[in-house]
Amino acid sequence: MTDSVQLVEHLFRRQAGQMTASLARVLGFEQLDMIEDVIQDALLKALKTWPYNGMPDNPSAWLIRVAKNRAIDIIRRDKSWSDKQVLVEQHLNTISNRQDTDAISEVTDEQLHMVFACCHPAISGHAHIALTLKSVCGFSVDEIASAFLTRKATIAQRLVRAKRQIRQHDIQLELPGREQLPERLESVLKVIYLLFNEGYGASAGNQLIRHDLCAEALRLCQCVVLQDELESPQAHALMALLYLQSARLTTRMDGTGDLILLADQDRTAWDVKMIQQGVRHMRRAAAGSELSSYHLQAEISACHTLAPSYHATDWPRILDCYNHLYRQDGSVVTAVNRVAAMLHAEGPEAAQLALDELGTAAALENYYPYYVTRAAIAGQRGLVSEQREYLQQALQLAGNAAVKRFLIKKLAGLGNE
Amino acid sequence: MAVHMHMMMVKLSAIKLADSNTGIYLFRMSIYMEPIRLVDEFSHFAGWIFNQQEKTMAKFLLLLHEQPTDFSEISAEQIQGVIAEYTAWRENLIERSLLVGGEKLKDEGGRHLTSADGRLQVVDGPYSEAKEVLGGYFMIEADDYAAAVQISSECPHLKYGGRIELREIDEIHD
Repeated sequence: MTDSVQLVEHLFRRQAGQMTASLARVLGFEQLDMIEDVIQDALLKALKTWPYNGMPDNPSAWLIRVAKNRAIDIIRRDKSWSDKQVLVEQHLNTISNRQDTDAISEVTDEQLHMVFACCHPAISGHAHIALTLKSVCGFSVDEIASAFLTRKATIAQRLVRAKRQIRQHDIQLELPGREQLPERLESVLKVIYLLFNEGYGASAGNQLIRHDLCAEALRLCQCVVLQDELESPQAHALMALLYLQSARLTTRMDGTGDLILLADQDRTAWDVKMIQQGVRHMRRAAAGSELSSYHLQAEISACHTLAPSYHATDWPRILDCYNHLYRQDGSVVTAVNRVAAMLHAEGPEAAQLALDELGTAAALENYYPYYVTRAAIAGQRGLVSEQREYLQQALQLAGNAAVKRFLIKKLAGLGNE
Repeated sequence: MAVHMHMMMVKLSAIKLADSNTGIYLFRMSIYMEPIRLVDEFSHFAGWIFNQQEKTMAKFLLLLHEQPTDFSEISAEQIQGVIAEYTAWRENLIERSLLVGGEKLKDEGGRHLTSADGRLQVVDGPYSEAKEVLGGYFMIEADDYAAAVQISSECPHLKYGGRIELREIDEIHD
């Protein structure tokens, strides 16, 4: 033992994820409950002893050893394991830690198989993300609930149901066969995308955990594109999107937690390495004829990220991408973004027309960016009282404190009537 | 332990309580002598202190009491955070050569021994029913109670609902 051992950031969470996958490979995915207990026991043992004895030289190896021994204890005591106990013990002993401590940030092959299992079509769709975060990324139910602004009991219920489905359908930890692979990969990419979006979106929630979600999505996607049988233009497009968005992640808020709009962000603080990675994956995404929603979103992100300034942004190209996207998904979010792009590319009259075409769907009227966009159009047309009215409507709908502060500031900037 | 100084001394506090074959090492050194750097396995417990004045250090025992807690829902990330806090506290003491040792006690009630009328009675101590248990201890060195209280007050144990009983070791000197 030395006093120089420092715990790598997120070591415990990532170690928990890696151990879950390793133990599930040996004991079976259906043993998830027992595996989670074993890992929690190991982490708690560290919590109770390390403060007194100091950290072991190799914290990862320590945790794995304790978890392994705990698992062996259980299967020796539990009669239902008796016929395969010796074999399982042998397999448990093959679990070892990876020597390279940096490797803890990489997703292992076992974990990737776990991602596919967590996103299995026999498991309800809305449990995919929670199960992935819990089993692959080592998040607690509390952390998942706080990231998704959901009640803890709801997440816990989803996980219980998912585990039942794993047992019922005997879901295995493996990559799907060639025939099912494209479809299964699509649902994995979607979970990674949603995971990232949840972290990136400006709705409420614990900011720290939300950044962690982005980092987890990035990690999982990196692992996918590194696999020969999985890397595809679509996967590279998603990877590009995640890199390009992540490059701007830390510049979107100031020190006090206030929002900084794209127009006002410090472009020199954007992460150049991430931008380069994003562009590299964009190139690889261009192979083939597919134009997925990830391609279009990555393209939009690239237009923003590569622009020398807000005003020098290629708005017509962004509008073109939104047109394609809107035809593909017809969503409210895309519709509002498309109008915002139109405002920059073609001016307030064209944007107003496009907005009027959208009508007055309930989904739109509950979506605060809709009113922010309306306010922007009104502002450009010099209709200050209308602008004020829309900003006030946005303020009523916004759930996030930072967004509210931003809107209040904006309203104050308009002055009094 | 009281150190009576006739000249500048380097004290190596390489003691771990459980090891009976180790103890306090005293080396008399010339005032101009370079301090000894301890490496490898000893560096964990030992350091060196120059005592410039006639100063005595006393040993204090920190008994860490805690409530048996259900930790089933604490997250991996939180566990790492708590460990990091304890580690920082502990390493700061090691750096200042004030940590003599520390150990965790097993999570069970132990045995309670009594003797009445020459008859020995041994019972298992309660653990799960107990409101509070002794989780472990640290032994530190400090100038006086005020300094020992200061060190103890910074221990993360208090922040997480534990209680620290601080006692000075009563040492017999020549």
